[in-house]
Amino acid sequence: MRTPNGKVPTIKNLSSDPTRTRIIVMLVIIALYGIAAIFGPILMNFDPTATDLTNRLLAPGAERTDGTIAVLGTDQIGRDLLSLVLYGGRVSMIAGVFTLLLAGLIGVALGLFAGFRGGWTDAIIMRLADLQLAFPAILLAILLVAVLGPSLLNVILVLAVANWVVFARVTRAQALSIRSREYVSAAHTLGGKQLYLMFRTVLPNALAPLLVVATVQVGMVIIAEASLSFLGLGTPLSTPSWGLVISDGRAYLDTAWWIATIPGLALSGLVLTLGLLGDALRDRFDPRMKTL
Amino acid sequence: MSNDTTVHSTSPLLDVSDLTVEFATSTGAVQAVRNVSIHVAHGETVALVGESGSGKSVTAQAIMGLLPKRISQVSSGSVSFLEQDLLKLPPRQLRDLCGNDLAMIFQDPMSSLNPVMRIGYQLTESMWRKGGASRKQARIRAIELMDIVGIPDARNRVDDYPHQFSGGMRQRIMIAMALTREPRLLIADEPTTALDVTVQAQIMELLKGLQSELGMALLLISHDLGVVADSADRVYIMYGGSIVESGITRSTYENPAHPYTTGLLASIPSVYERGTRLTPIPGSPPLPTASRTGCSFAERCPFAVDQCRTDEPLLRNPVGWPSTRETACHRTEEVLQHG
Amino acid sequence: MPTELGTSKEYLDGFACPVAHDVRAVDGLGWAAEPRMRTYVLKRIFYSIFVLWGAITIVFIVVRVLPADPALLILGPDATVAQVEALREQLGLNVPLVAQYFQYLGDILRFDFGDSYRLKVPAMELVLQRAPATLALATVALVISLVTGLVFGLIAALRVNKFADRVISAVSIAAQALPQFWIGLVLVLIFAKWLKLLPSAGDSTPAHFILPALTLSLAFTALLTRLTRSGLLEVVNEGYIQTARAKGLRERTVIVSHAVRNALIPIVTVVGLQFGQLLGGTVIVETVFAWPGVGRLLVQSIENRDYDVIQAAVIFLAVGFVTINLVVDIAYGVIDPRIRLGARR
Repeated sequence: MRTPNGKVPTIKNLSSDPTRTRIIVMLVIIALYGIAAIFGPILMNFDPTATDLTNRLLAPGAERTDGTIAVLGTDQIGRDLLSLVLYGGRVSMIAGVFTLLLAGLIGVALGLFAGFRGGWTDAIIMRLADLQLAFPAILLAILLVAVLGPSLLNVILVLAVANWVVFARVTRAQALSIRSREYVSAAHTLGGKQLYLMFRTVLPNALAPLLVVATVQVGMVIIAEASLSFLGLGTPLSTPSWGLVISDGRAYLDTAWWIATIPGLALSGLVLTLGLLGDALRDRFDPRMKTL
Repeated sequence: MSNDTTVHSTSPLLDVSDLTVEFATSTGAVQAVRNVSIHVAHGETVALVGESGSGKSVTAQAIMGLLPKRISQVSSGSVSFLEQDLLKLPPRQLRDLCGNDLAMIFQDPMSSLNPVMRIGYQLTESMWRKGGASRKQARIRAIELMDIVGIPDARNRVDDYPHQFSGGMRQRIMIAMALTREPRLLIADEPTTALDVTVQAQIMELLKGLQSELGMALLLISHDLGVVADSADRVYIMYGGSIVESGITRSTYENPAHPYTTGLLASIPSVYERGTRLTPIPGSPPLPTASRTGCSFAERCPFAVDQCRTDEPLLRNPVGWPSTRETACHRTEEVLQHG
Repeated sequence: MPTELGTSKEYLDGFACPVAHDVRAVDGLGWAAEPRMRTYVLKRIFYSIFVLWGAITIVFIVVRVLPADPALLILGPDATVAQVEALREQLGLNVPLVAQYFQYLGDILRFDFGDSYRLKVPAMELVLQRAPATLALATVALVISLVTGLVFGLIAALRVNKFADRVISAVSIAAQALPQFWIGLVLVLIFAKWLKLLPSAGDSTPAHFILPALTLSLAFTALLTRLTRSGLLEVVNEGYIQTARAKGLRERTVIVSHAVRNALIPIVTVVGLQFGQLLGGTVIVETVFAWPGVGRLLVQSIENRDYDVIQAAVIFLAVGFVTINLVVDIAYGVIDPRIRLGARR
């Protein structure tokens, strides 16, 4: 497909195009989230373990005993909800980014080997992938965390293991299609080493669909981390992620509804933006992937 | 049903008059077909020839009422079939006609057949849905039709799926589907383009044979002058959305009166010219969005003069030629001399 | 043109009664008689068994191989060395792993999933007690999703780019981004706490189904809506739709008979894949709504470190998942004859 001004779309080619605005807007929003997450807690001097029981369960906008205003209210042990939301953003984004990096690394590597080597390597890796897909990801994640114990690192590892398959598939598909092209076999006969070939030929082409897939996956991973934390299987109590705060807020649904609802808004907002970004990227680079 | 191929009555079976079709685009309305008039007599074979983008398929779609409703409309003209204006008919009556007296087959038989339905079903559908036949009767008729169009072992293959047939066979099935209600006019939109060359000849033969047997008129749409040469009684040449030349096939081929026709004929590769270069027409056809001052062929035309770029030529009958011959060119006389 | 057929009785009989061994079949249930269909079904069943074996093995690896000491995991950090040793003996953890694995497989085949450490009853029994509640919830959610998703997708496709479509599409996109546990809580907040319309916990009355089923079905409904819409829009541009119109069929027939069947094909594949999410979602939804099902049991068992129950619950859910996929695969073969007849697309 070609962009309206006739150029073939590549990663570098984000020239004038209505989809471009969508992509930029989404990226800006995500960047804002990121900045808020990184700098917010610092600016607010947030200490997740500090309790302030005199100011607990304050409604959004209420005044604390020391005169400051709790913009979004406070939770059951007096922590400022706004800070909690910002801090939780950190956890979610760290979980999302690192999980994806790990899953991507594993997936791309396995996909390259499967696609390029073919034969037994391919068969085994694909069977493994099928097997893993046959197991609902969240069950696998729950099972793994149940055994390994709750910690952010474990969550990242677990979610990476649960999510590598789609990266492997995309890379493998690219590898297969490239492998059959003549310039690769030409390079091969000229003595190019396999590894080098794989990187130079497959990766640049795979980058676009991988990016699309990655944006979709990030949203899912973030929700998965939040869900695990909600169940008590995610981050430990000392690291308040959004899921954990919402879970704590459950007991106070009658009295302090804001604890459970507001972090969820932030979470939904982030995931929605990521989803829209994924859609826009996909529209931009390959509308044929619409069924993915 | 008569086996007589001569013209029944004086009024044509199909009379398209001054048809203009507009498409909605982001830059405004664009005319894909402009002031096109063609007619087909009972039992006649008429060819509509042109490049991709010339508007020939759109014309066919307009006749059958198959234009995409949201983005296109017929902005002027009339389509008279069996003395009714198809454009003014209520949808229900148009639907009654389609698949009945008026049928159409399309270019790519693989994508024109529903891949998840058995061909027996697809063949019989209009018979029991619209024709009042029972499923059993329809099935018998379907097998008959498959025999007629030359599909071997029809009885056993009637329950097969489209992908189980070859391209040529699928096109035969399409033809059978069009014939179920014995149409007076069959519109064939590039029926052989997606097929192998040898199969092309077979399909054209089949169409000709069926046509003479059933007394059916045939409107053949193609980009290939060669394919229609043997089959068509008359030919219309389309370019840039309008008719640029028309006439009896043989006469038009031997004495083209429009530079585009000359160019088309010259570009047909011939085994006698082996070893020489092919002669395409330089340039490319205009986009429907291009502005229209003067003749749309002017920039590619070896005969063009200044008048060609300012005044749009209208269809006229060249001096000294029968009224069946028409051409839209300021320089016809020169073309006829040199072409 | 002469034909040999006419009304030959042989032919009519063939039409009326499909013969099982004959490749000739008729529209409708004739597909079940085709030998190639049976091969296809058998292949899918074998594949499902293979996948199930894989799932069971994965569970074994996670529960037995990963932890340094499974017994310690169960008893918790306060256990004495003696207690841990006793449990290790009891669980058969002192034999080589391979032997443990075969013991494990053997147990499963004999339907022995161990006992709940806490309640001292067979683990699978506990799971099966809760199974009906989960199945009921999942079924209701599935039905809601299918009906709502297909209907809204159809509406959106028929009124493409008009107001109805834009609203439906926007809502679907948003709905897929909402985390289930949060949406469930918000629904509880609004409908149970503020409006006091619906119950928020337990499963005693039909009204109890509403909120949990809605929550569970939300993401799936949104997905189905988008898929149905895009599937129909793609199909509508295909050649055979034009052919059907050229035959003079009513638009309704064209869409329902020709378009929908083709559009269903990619939908069915994705449905199969996504159904696992639905099952996985029961874990969360049951926790939020205190629904007495397998999901909630699983979470509680994790809190109690009751590993045999965890194992049993996970295997049960995996079996459910694999079964659903098998059914979907077979449905796929029915809908798309190219799959079971092994055609190149």
